[in-house]
Amino acid sequence: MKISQVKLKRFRNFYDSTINFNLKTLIIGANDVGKTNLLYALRLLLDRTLSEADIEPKDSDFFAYASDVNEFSITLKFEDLTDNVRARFKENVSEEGILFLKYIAKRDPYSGKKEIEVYAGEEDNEEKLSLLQGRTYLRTLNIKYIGSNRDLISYIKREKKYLLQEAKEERKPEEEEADNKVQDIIQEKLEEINEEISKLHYMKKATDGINAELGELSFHHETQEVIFEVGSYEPTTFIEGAHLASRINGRHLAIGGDGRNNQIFLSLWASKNKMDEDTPTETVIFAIEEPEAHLHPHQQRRLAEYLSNNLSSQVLLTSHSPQIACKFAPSSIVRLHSKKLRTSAASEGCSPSITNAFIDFGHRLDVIASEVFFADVVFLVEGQSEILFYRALAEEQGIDLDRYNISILMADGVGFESYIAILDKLEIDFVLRTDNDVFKIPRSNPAIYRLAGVERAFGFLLKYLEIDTDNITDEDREYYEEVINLIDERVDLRGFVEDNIDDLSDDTVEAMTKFRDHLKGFGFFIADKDLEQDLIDSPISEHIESFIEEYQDSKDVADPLKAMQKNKATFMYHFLLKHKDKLGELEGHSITEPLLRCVELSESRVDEE
Amino acid sequence: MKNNKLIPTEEQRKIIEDRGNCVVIAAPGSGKTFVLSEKIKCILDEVPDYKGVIAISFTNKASDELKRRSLEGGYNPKNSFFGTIDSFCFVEIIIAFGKHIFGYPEKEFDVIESDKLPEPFKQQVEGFSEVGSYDDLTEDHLKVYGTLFQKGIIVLDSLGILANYVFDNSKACRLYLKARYSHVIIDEYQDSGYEQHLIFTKLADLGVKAVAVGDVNQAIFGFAGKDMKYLRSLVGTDGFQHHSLLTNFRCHVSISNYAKKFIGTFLEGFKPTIIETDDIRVFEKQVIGHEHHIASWIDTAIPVYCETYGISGLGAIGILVSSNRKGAFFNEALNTSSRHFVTTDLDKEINLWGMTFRRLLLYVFDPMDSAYEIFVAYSDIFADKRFAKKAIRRIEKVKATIEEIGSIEGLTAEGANLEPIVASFVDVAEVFFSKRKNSKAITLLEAVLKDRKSLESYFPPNPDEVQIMTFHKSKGLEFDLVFHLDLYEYILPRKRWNNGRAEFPEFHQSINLHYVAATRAKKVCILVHSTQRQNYRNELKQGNSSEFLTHQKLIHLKEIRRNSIC
Repeated sequence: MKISQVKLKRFRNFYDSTINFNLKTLIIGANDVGKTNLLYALRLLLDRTLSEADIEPKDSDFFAYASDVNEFSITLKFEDLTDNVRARFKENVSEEGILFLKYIAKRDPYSGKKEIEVYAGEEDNEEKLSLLQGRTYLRTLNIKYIGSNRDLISYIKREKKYLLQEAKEERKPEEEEADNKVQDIIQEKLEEINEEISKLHYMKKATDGINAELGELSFHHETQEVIFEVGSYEPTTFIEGAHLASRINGRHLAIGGDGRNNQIFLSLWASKNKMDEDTPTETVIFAIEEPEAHLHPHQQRRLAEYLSNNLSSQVLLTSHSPQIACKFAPSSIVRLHSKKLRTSAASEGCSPSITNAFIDFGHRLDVIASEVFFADVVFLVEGQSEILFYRALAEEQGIDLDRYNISILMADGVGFESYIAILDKLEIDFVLRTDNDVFKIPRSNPAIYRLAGVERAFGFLLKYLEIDTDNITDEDREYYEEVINLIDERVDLRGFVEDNIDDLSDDTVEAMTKFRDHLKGFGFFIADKDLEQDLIDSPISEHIESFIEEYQDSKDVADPLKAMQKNKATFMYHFLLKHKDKLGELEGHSITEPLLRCVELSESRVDEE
Repeated sequence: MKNNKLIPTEEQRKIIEDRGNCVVIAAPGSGKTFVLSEKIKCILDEVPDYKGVIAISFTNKASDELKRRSLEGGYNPKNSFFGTIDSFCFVEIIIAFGKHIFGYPEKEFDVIESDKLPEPFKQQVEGFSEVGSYDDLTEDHLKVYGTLFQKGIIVLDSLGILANYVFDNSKACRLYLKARYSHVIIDEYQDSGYEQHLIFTKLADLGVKAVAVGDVNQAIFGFAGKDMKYLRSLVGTDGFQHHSLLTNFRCHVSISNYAKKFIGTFLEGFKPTIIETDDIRVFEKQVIGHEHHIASWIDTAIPVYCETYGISGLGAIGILVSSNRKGAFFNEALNTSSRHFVTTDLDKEINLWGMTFRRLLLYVFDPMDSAYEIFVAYSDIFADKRFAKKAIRRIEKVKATIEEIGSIEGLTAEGANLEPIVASFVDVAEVFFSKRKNSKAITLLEAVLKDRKSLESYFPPNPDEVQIMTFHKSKGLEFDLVFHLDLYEYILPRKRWNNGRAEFPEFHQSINLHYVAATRAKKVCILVHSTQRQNYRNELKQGNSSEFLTHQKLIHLKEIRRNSIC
């Protein structure tokens, strides 16, 4: 059984959002985007540990960035219902097997008085929702939530008691008898040890004073005295004081690190809840925030697998970890993002369309998913050397990429097209910069050329805008008139004859410029030629040229430019190592434009309308 | 049944432990409620908290009793339903899932009798109420019922039909019932109507384990009659195990053994278990002579049996005969003080209205009886406070109307106006069983009211008088000592010759009468016949003993006393 959909209206930072879930769902997004708020919405309807007072709405629960918001609602849609839920909700389950639960909070605009109503129904409409007397269904259906600020140590201590208790109860009679014998021995030894301890001089001296006072106070109990002892005389208390300890190759390790405690916490918790799953009277949905806390990457991946494989119920995780993200099918990832102070889920959450977009990635999914999911703006470039260059450029220009949550990714190998499809589905803003390739049309004589780079980029744009050139709709025409006008002019980009392709004719340049300018408007930047050549033509050309000379000397290569083109990344790495500080000189140059556009996009997400 | 609270008998255990579909034929006093409540306890132990049983009883009183006994000892009812079939259809099927089919109603539901419907619905519904079966449901019916549903009105007579319709058309309803209930148990199945039978078998088809319990008294009747065809059809249905619960704990074990073995001998499908005993209390007495000699013998035998078996008084003795004529004869012929309770045609009416009228007549003449007793016996889930008040007021009005006349003489006098009295009886029957309106029962009631002897048969018995009555009239009563008369060939079982071949008309009814008569005896049962007998024309005939007495399988279960005084 699962929550298949959540609708949030005017709740906290959700203005009007629909979010779909799968059986195992990972919720990701930047800090403060509302991951915890989303889970809190579920908890208002489903968490048994929230009291009636806890679920009363607060002013801060009402969406704050629009006027006259005096009502918010949370609607949960359930599917694949278990028998206990069917038996509990009776006619509120639809003929198709769907159940809705709804929480509505209202605020009187004058008195500020707030009230809530909880409904169940077969459909999310007023007629078909019936008012419930509070959350009486919680015994049947609830959520178990682990927040990110969990108190590992006290939980482990508490659970330890249950572990021991359960193990005790499961003993066979002969085991119990044997244990009793051992306990008697422990008792004897304990007495011995306590005896020994009291012989320690400093132990004795420490209590002398107290005993003297005690003697004064109660002369008729003179035999009574206070001593330090190592444990209780009661062996069970002593035994149950045992700490959980790790043993590696027989050697003891104290459990102390937060990471280890976190693992123990989650495994204790999962094993306990797995036991509970055997009693089908209660249907539980698990929500765990940032299970990766304090763990290093390998263990994060293990943990993600563990949680989704060991709990057969619905599991909702929030995470900041790419390691955990790559363990989830893309269709099971909910990416929350915020635009104009309103949070929503890309592609309305879990959606097969996201998987379709990912199919092109094939086995590279692991590598890619991590970065892609967590960025606000992605800057797509050709290859590794661009990544190195733009990271350095950003630093020199005083642009903090992390603060803006901008990721620079290379399309190398995967192709721009696949990336664009994914970023579109994930509703992640992006900018791309591609080389201005000019190709000779094969077997043409005299040589005929085409502006392959521009043409390709224009193709991307058409696809991104979902314009079908064979069937242009009126709607397309209305929104993208200029782009559509360019379609016919695409012929200008191919089939031109040039004497020298490094020095294009005016007509060709004119056509190219027209396309480039339009593409730029959509964040599709096209290099003058490619990064290396563009740099040579830039204000820092001096530094490049002198570096090439040095490079040539040191590496003893015949043709430095060729060498540079061949090992772009290595070249760029060495160049930046030496001349990074010179990149400041590129301020205002077209080469920095894509970066500035990224910043603009990132900033626009947080601007108020 | 306090004695068997700890250990169920073999017969009972089989039923308690059967976890499949089954039909149980139970005798009165056989611990039926004990068995059902133990079975429910076992099921409740096994099912998860969200599941439960559907336990259907015929009246609210019976349901309360079953519920109390099932949950005795702090049992958790879990998600069980205890109630009547009407309340089950209403609450669990119609109002819950009807809205998935007919749309959401504009107000809370009211259940209304068809004659109280607003126009034009009254006319429409009354136009097709004669049909009254789910199989005959048409689009036109549905249109009217659907419109009424949206207005929040359910016609009482249509509960069974609507429940079946909703069940068949709502998948959510079926999945819900299957998810929530592990067993459906219906008591007094012989009183089931067609729609109830359909719901029961549909639940069984869903995989809800189905248990039908029928009353052996009525069932035996019914196996011949058409009203019990549903119970009978289950006995032959695949996947339904057949059990019988015949040990009558009110009776001495030897009497119960005899009665069970008797049923097992003459009816197929019953496999009784006998509890061994040396203490035989079923006697066969052959009197030399005819009925006058029987009367004299009874006069001498009564003090001896009272002495030997500790029988408290003459009121605890019943003399059961085949006809009112015989009853009147023995009332005259006996020296022992006795009273003859005439059997009226109303007594033979097994319809619910007839039953209600008989119950009301007993109440009218018994100062110890109360209207409340009747109310709790007949009311069902729809009995809210307003209903209770109305019902009790109507019951009390029956008594008041008769008392107004002042005396039996006035009541039975020529030209007495019986109309208001009959109306008061009908008012009560309508309040409880409006669907089972029966004009024959009304005619029979009128006949009783006009006849002094008939009326007197509803008077409370006197503890100092032996009660004489027919086998029919004795149903539901009990005596310490029973003289079971008229066990002659041709009389019981009825026999006639047809073209040289013996025929037994009403054979099942004959079996039932002997079974009922014998099991009225708690301590001693004496099966009496004589060497001669008088026929209906008062001619003396040779008295051959009944085929029931001479059957080989039954001989060792009774002690034959031919020549001794007693």
